[in-house]
Amino acid sequence: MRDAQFIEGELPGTAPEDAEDSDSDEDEEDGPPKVTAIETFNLDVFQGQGGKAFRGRVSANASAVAIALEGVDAGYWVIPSGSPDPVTEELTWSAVTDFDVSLRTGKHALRVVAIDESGRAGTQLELVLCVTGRVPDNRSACSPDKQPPRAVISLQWDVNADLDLQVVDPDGNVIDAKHPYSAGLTEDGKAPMEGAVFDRDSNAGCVVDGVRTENLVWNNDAPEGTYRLYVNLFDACKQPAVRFRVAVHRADDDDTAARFAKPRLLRSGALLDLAADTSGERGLFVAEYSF
Amino acid sequence: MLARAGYPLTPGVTGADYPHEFVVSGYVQAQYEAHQESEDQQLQGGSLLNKDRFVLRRGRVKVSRDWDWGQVQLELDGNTVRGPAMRVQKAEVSLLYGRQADKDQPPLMQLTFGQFDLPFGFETTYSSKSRWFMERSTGARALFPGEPDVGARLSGGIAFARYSIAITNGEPLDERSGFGLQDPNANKDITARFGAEAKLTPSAALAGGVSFNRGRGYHPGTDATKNGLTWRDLNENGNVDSGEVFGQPGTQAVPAKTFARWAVAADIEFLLQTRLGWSMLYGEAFAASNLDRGLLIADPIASGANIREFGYYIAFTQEISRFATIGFRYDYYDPNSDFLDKRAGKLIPTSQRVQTVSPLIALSFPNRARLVFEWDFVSDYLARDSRGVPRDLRNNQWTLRLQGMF
Repeated sequence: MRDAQFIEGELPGTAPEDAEDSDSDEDEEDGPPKVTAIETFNLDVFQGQGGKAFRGRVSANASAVAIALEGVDAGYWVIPSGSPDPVTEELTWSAVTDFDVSLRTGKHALRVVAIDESGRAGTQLELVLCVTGRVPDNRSACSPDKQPPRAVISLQWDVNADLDLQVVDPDGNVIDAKHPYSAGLTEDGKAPMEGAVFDRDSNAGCVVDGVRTENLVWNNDAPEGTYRLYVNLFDACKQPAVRFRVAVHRADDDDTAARFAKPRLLRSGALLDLAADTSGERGLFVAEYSF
Repeated sequence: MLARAGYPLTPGVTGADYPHEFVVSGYVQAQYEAHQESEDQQLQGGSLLNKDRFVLRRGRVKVSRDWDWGQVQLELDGNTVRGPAMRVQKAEVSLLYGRQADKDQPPLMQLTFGQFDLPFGFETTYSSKSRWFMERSTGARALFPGEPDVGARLSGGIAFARYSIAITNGEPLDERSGFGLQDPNANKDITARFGAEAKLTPSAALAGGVSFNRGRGYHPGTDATKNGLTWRDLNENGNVDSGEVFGQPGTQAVPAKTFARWAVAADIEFLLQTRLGWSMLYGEAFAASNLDRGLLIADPIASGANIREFGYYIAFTQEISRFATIGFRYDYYDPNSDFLDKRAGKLIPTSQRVQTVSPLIALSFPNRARLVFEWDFVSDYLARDSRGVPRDLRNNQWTLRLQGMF
């Protein structure tokens, strides 16, 4: 959390589930400070997301708000309350947050509590966020009624180099960032409804996006056969070496998001900058996988 | 007396019986330091947050040559404070008049051009080789991040009186504006110290002085920019949606501005030799305006108001025989006496003061080697508590240093 103070320990205040039991009509002015509003544009967060904004209001007797995220149990962040809202006369607060790439996918409760100058904390207010992974899962980690993709081949790497995933299907067709649809374009030049699709060409041409992940996604069953997986270092982008891992995720009819998240195949490796190849030929052979 | 004892209050040339040859001297200060706030992380931009490390703090070699009428000094410094670096620490050429027989007595008049230590207060000119404490006090380092600047200086002494007046570029070494030892404005800074130094008895000396600095700081301008497009992910879905791409009109270049800055200081030093060894008690106080160039950079153009600094320190060292020394220093520095903290929509006057208590213990082999351990207990308001109120940041540190001299 940017421009905030991190404090180790448990988030102060009354948990929302406890507050419902002990709700009382305390005097607004003399009672503990309250968080009256939390606002954000949406409840989705992707692993490694930076700059997500939260804002809200607290009662006029609050000197600060403390914010904690479920799953980050080491402590909480404190932000002084800001200027009064001209309409409600409550105090405003705002926070800009970055989410770690290793944050577990699924639902996480963001809890906010107001604290007054004597250190008294009020009741925590909760907002449930959905953290989605770098491997697309159709938000199935947050909504059990949603199905993950049938298969995803995922390439992730560690430094800001331009690395490309290349997959050769059983018919010998190459699927990569330059050929992002396994079924090719439709006759009218549009994306096909079936087959696999690449989600992005990360760090293309050394324009750094920081994602360092490329996924080939099948939302329907992948055609049976053996697929060959390659990794090509298109441009090292002045990095001396890059370490990568290739994973295959699959989901059968009854598979949960947790089972989908466990890769069926996992290979890792490294490439030196000397291996950079812009010719468009196949890169380093990594593995074969049969659907 | 003082020079031989290792407490040269007046830095500069030697007495009348100077050596008629090149003199090469130097020292190495290598240390291990541990900081409470150290983390195995980097700041945005790549600066390292780990501070628990071995450091070559100073590796200096000085070559000097004296004549009746003048002196040339060149001192090089190698260190690993911000990565390996080798640089000129001092390069002075002086014309002299009236060398004195006493080595503690400066010449009547010395005109110096080059890169030399600024004559402000006591710590700035007191040799790092002789000082027992690891670094100068917080305030002295904030106002003068590095001791030397480039310019001209007239200095000397008559009987007990001492004077030193310097005209310099005004951007000393290590200052964080990026213009260190250069000069972004035509104005030249004037720095001066007028003091006195007296040997009360063969085993006691008293010195003191008043100093001032006056100059102009520099607020850099900005370049003109071209038209451009900006994407703002207003709904935070990671996609470029309608209404999220904005035209960014080109902007004009903004001219640079300068601003006035000044500082005044008073210092006092007392030295006494007893059976136990030399005792040294010294202190200094200063007030300044817009002169913080090392800690919380003062820029009144950016902040819209002049920024007042205030600080002082008091230090005591005691030799225990020739082979051990203990010391204690307390220093106080307020980088902005008018700081307002924003809390609950109100601007509340808040102190930003930094206090440091620094005890030390040292073993020494006189004029050859020192092994010094110093613990710095730092009290400041750089963190916040759960109420959002500024509180002390845990940033104490300790240092173990071995120094060798030749």
